[in-house]
Amino acid sequence: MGCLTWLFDRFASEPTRSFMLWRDQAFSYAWLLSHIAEWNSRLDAADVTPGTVVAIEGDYSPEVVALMLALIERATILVPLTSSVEVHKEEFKQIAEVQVVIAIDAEERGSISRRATEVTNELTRSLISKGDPGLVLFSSGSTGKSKAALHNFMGLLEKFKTRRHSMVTLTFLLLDHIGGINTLLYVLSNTGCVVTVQDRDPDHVCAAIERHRVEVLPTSPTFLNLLLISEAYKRHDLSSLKRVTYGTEPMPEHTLQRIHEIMPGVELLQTYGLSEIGIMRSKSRSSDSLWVKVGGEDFETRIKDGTLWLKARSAMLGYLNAPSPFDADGWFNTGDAVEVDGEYIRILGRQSEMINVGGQKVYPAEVESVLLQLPNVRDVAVVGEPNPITGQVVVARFNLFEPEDVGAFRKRMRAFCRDHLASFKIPAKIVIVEDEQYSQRFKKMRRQPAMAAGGTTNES
Amino acid sequence: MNRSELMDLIVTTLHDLLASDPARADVSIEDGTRLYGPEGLLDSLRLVSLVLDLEQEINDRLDTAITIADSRAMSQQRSPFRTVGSLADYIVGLLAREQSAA
Repeated sequence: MGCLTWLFDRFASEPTRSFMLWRDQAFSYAWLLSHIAEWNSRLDAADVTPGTVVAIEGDYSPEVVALMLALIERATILVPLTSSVEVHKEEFKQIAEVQVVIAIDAEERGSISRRATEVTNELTRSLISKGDPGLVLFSSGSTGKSKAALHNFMGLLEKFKTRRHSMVTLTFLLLDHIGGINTLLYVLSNTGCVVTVQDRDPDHVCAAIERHRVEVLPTSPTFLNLLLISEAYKRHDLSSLKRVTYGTEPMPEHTLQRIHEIMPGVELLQTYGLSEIGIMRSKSRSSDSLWVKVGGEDFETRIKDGTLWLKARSAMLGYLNAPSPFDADGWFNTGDAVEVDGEYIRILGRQSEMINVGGQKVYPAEVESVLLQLPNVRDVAVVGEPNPITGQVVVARFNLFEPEDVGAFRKRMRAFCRDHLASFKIPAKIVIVEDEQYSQRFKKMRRQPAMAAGGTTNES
Repeated sequence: MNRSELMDLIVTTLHDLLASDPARADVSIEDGTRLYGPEGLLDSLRLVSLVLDLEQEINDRLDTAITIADSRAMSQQRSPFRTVGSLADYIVGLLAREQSAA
């Protein structure tokens, strides 16, 4: 029997329950089992054997989930590719040495095609020889070239064997993201239900929460900022929500407080995970606290020079296209700067995004949190810029609601910051931009230099 | 932008920057007023802000692309950032160079 027998047994015990709401239609666990069986025959017919590297092209849908499970059970190496990485698809297929592509179109029809590729990567080959299923995830590439992390799927599955609460969960992250995979496996292993949305703007998401009585919303700080700005929460009944989880980037403190104010009964939980390591179990000190305890049975943590290091049982095997980031003892440097208070940590931001002003450290998230409270500010990204006097200076790129004279804006921005930030953290330079500053994964983009951001100053 | 217009701009920008500092809010600013160093009006952070504010303001108004603080400014025998007047002189020089290059 395959590696998912325990999971399929759980599905079989709840045949009439829905595992997914897709385009407002419910799909049951019985449906899922029968479609997994159908895929099995098709994969047999197409001679997709264990150890084949298979790319799945398609967004979140019942058929994609059935196919994924059939491929895991068959011990293939999965490479999920969604439309959000459209421009990189060919590059990603080459890096992962994809041999079979299965595309699921908008009508849920699948087509299988082969590529003449030989698997040469040593990591992939050793996983194949073990006979275990694999998963290749690409980092978002904000630091330059995307890195391909190869996981042994068995390690990722292990923690889901323990039964936990099943709840109606809205999926926000896609299946090419460790968070999206984690949410799906969590829901399926507890025979819960995932609610998918076609459009991820706050009003569509809130409408889906209201219509399907969603209980859990896993999301990102950027989305929660958009929720506040759009005031979509005022137009929809969100009373079914029990838990909102947030991760992938540091949470601005004031965003968390505002969300806690508008949904006081909802548990707000910070999650922590990386494509290289998986998602850790975590516990926020309280709903309005940024202090979080991370770890769980399968993880060890330590702090070295203010940076979080992790060791995980379910860590990836390595990168397919970069040197191993693990040290000799298997520890991984997350690159996240943290503060420590007993068992709790607080994530300050990426070490690489830290701005050094005359020797003093500035983390963008803290400054952004203050700047977001300024009237007429819709969004802001804080970055460092070289400066011959202080090494670097703090630059803030703003999106405003209404056009405003840049000089007048700068003046009131500085006056406001003086009461809320140490002087070296106050932006020395501001740019007003038109383009949105978050990615398709609703994560803040700080990387592009201020000049290349299409920046315009509103000065006449 | 001539020197006296530049002086006006520097004085206004300085007053804006110092507005929140009760000890210095009403200080009179003249050609020889020290910007940085002993008895200087500004700390390093405010000096950086002054320079970036002036850059942005001048470049917006004149559609130029001058950089006031760069390695050339830092390697001058006498720092352009000593006094209000020396800064004005330095910027006048930058603008003249920019014009002759255009």
